Amino acid sequence: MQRNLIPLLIGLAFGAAIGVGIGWLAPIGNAGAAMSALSNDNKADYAVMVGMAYARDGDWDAAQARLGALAEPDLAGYLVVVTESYIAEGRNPDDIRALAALAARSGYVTPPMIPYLPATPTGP
Amino acid sequence: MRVAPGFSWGALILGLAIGIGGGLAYAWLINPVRYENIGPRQLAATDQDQYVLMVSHAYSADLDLARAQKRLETLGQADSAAHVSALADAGYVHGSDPNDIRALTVLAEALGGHPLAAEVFSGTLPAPNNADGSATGTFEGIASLTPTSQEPSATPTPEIAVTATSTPISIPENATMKLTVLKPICVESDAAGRLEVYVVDQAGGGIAGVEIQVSWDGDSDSFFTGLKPEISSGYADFQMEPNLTYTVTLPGLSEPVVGINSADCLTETGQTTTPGYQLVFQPVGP
Repeated sequence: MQRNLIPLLIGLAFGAAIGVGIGWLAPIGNAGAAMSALSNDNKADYAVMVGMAYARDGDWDAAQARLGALAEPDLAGYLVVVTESYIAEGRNPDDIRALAALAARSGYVTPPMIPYLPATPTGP
Repeated sequence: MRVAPGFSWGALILGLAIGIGGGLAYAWLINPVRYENIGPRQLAATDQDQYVLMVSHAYSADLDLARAQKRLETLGQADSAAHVSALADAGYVHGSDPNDIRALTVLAEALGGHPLAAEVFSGTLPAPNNADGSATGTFEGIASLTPTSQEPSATPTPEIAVTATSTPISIPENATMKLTVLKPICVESDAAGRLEVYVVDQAGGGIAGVEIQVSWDGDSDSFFTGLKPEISSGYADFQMEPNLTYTVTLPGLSEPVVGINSADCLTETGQTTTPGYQLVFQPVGP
């Protein structure tokens, strides 16, 4: 018994370390992450792309479904924050317009957004 | 290496096996990897596809190829054109939203790809949605561009036509022209293979004297609107050869319209013919 215990414990320790290492480095199932795991910059850029598509096709249902992939609990609030941060950072005006249109369509227009919205914005 | 007498290799291997199994169970089931703050490269395959789709829609909106390429590079794909083409074709085969297939096809072709979906969706950027919700004018909507010619039999020479038909309509400074209509035509007629380009102002009036550049397969040709006033002062046409892919540009005024393909199409009567296209450019901006 004693003769087998020590090798067994050594094997268990090494095996567990190897197993955890492999398991974390090569996850099973849906390998890779969801859109919601993107970094803040990448999330914002994704929202910009959704906004540009929305500006082009006017399909609000599609835009909502696409934004839903970001899994933001308060999507409208998120859009306002991102839009205002883009404005504050002096980003591309076309990008700001795209985001502002989404925020406005979500029901939120803040003073900094107004210059980036059409003169007669459409309501939600 | 010397091993102490009595060392049990069997127990060691058994321990390793149990340990690896337990470690995998812990890493995969009990405490799996959680992704945070990642880049598009680490997205799951389905989310990467969604990301590419949005890149293509954004490209359809701004026609900024460099930006689209930069975004695609974040996915770490070795061949972005092939990847986008594959998505366009997958959407085509599975009957996805035509707007999605169109956006993917246009981007794939701009990247140099050759998706099968281009047979239907090549270069067909849809007209943009107006902010006020009104429909953008279609080609049929500008029928008034065709004036009633008093001299229908006359075929003016280019010099005469330009002189006689140039109108006071001019393109404002810093204005850019945008493709608002691209309509493929598949009929057996003289129009087979004809590229008909209309350059019109915001009100639909033809603009004469605008240079149009057509390029294909390493070759190119330029011509001007206004040479056929019996059709419209903003009209010009070009005869395409079969089975080539053309790009149409208003140099200095518009982004290139890529992927205009003259591969045979099937008419309503079941005949094959070279398709024609009607393109309408209108100014955007102030």
